[in-house]
Amino acid sequence: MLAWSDRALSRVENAAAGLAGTLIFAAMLLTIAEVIGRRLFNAPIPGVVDMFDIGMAGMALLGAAYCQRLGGHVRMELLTGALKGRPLWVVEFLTCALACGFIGVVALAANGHALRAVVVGDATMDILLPEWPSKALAAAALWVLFARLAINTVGYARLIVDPGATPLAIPAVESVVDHAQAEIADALSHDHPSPSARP
Amino acid sequence: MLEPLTLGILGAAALLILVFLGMRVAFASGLVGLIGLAILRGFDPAAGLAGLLAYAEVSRYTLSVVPMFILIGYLAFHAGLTQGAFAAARAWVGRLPGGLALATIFATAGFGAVSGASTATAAVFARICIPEMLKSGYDPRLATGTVAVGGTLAALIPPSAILVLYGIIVEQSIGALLLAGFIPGILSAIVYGTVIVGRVMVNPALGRPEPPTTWPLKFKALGQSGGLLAVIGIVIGGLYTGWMTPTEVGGVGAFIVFGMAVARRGTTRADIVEALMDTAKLTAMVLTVVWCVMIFVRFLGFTGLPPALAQWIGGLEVPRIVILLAILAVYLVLGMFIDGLGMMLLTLPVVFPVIVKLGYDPIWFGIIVVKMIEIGLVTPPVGLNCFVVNGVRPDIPLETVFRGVIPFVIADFFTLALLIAVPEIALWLPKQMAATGDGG
Repeated sequence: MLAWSDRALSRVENAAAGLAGTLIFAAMLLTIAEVIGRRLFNAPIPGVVDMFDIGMAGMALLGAAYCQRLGGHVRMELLTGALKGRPLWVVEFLTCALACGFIGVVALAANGHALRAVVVGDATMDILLPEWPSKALAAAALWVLFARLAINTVGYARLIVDPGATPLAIPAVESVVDHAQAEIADALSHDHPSPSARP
Repeated sequence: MLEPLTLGILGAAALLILVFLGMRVAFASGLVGLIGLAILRGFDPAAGLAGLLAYAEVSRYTLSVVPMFILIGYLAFHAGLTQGAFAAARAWVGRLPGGLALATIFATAGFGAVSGASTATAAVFARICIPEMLKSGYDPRLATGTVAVGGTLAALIPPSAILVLYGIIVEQSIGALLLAGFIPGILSAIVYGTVIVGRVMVNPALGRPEPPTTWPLKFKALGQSGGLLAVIGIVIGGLYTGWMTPTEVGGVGAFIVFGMAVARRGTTRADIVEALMDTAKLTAMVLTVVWCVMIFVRFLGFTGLPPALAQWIGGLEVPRIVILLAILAVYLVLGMFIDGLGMMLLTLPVVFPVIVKLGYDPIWFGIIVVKMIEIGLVTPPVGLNCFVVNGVRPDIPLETVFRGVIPFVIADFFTLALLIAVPEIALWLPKQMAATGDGG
């Protein structure tokens, strides 16, 4: 069940991160068009800043759960690197459960803001783009992150019960060495297995 | 009811404990901020504000420079810029004592001008330069140490993602900050180069010079790194003249590197997709810390802790340089245990008001902080760049790498002292920009 939900959520996360990457690529093309239009033909694209304002939420948040799965969010590994077995899983469980609760509260509030944007009809300053799709996307991204943290929390709880079990549904436990390996895989990806292929 | 100031101190302590326990920096700071705001203002307003900040703090045009710079970095690995940079540097400085090590420093500096990521730069150049140096009989300590410190140059030389984040947190001009890193970055490279030449002159066995090359060959090698020079020109020129916003500089730079990657044989669609996925991941990592820390910053703002602390420290009867050095000492220790980004975002809300109160220049301080972060990347126990070099070359012990960087770290303290004594090294270029353009 845990393994199944981990895999199912991974698909959602990959799709979300892919969408974030696509938005970033589109943003690059938009800047090119803007620079060429404004500087060479004196014809700026109207509302570029507005487009970026509403596009940023997707670029910034859609990859958050994917990043959590791969253990990418910044943390200090001084204590967790020294712990082993059940004490390690207890600490991981507690901090992960707290993170999960925090993101749950934020996601719930983001839902409220997205709904209000639909009702009130929030729009950007310059060319009056509707803000609700972007706010809804932000809320959705936060819910995916919440789901990932929830699955991680269950994964840690499972290991507290049975520290001998094969770790499942938890972020890659990085020692500095693992972290360095991940950086290398990122940088030299053309002839190394892709980081997303790591378990 | 707790005094707000007491609550602020408790909140800061709680955050430190959670971070020490290994909670992700982003979630720890957001959680403490949320609870603190809930105590001060009630749960519903606090939750509402947190939900709003998650959207509002990232939905800003100025932040869009972050994914652009990250994208340049990831695409650059597929654009063949790294080999070109090393070949060009080798042709030009290879004849000097320790020529290949020197070439490594200048190639990493050049590549730093298209990439803002230190560890990634170290990984790539470890693969390219270390085999060449070892083949020519270079001392493994010199070879690995050079690559590890060379990687750190990427964070100072624009484009630098970490300087952008500094600018966002403390609300300073991004364009001015990026330009301010340029000369200190070059200075660091020159200081590293001097260390190499000095060491090899004392002990020529460490690394012998390359055979001479001809001028046509030199220019040919330079021509092959034309793409790299184009990106450098656009980044520096675009920022300096104020012709383009930092985001536009990033977008145009990314587009050029993208074009080069596509034109290069062997680049597959999967490579590009992976670069985009990695960009999405790193962007999310960076910006999650940003909006979460902003919740904590709001909470701290309500408690009045940062100005109170600044007031108190500002009133101390000690020269301001003592306080600055104390702050830098804390950064040096913190930098040994935590990622530079996390360290910077965690401490700035409290440290920055103190720095301003003491009358230091905010732009200049950004350069100093980044220099500290870079030192943290090569000092034990978690000097990530050294682990990266060791990871690429497991046959060379980690200890060798850490020993190899010692002379460079000593030189870094010299550079740091120089930057503190002569702030103009960092501030001259952005001041020129202020005179000519409107900046970022």
